[in-house]
Amino acid sequence: MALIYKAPEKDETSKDSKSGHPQETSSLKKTPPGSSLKKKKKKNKKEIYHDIAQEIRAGVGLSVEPRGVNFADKAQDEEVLVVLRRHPITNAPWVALGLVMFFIMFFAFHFGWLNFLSSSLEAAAVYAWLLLTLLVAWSGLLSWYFNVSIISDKRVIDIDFHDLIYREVSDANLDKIEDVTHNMGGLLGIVFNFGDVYIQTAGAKPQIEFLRVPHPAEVASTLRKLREAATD
Amino acid sequence: MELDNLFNGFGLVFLLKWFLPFLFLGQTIFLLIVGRQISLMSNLFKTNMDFLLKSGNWLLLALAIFGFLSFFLIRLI
Repeated sequence: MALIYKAPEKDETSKDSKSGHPQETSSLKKTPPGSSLKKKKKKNKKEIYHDIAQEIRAGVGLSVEPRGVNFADKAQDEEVLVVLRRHPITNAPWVALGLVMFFIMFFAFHFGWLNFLSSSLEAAAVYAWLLLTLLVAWSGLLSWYFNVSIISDKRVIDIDFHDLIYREVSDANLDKIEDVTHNMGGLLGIVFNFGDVYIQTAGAKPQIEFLRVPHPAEVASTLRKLREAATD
Repeated sequence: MELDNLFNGFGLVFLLKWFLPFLFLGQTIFLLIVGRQISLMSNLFKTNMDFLLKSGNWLLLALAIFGFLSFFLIRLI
């Protein structure tokens, strides 16, 4: 605060320094000269990252600057820019299986397939079947939810969650990204605009994959821009 | 129960009577593993949905345990 009040007395201090009192001026120059500039640059870089991230179209499976997302080893000043999951249409197989299993039960009642069972055993069988249907849907949902790719303002992280038992986490700093490629294929991929993004890195794991993510071309383009901003 | 009596009534009903408790037991074990995985994954990747996922898993686990216990409660075996 004292420095602020003394600011208008610039002439006086200069006078003091001229008159052999250099202490005042040295107290004014306590902060290193380049630090405020560095802070500004850093802030600008963050703003650039956010601007780049804002260019992607958000939707189900692709959230831009989501709130309340946290991950292991996240630095204090690190911010999540994009969270990617598989395109929702890729959930169609388990949703269809769940529906078929659910409607089979109605067919069983309608055609009397369970009539040979006692009522209590019939109830138990239906209950077990319904629970199995729920578990199929639950495992599909969890597998989709936890297979996540994160782009932060420092790095890209890929969390793979296979069969609810295995998991693999890989990450690479933005400036370590060497090459970004994407591909789109198949009827569903073209209709619903989803595909794979492959990120070649200079890290221990040479390739990070974002599989069946929405808008792969935009994601790849964003990653290229982020890499350029990080290496600048 | 003698072995002859055990296999006298062998058929789909017999199989179902013995298969269903094991199915419920399998579902219970599966949900216990999934519950553990959810909490481990929550440490790795935390969102506002974590509470919902954990609650859903506890609910399913309760249903599976109830199914398993029902065989002993209503003496289906």
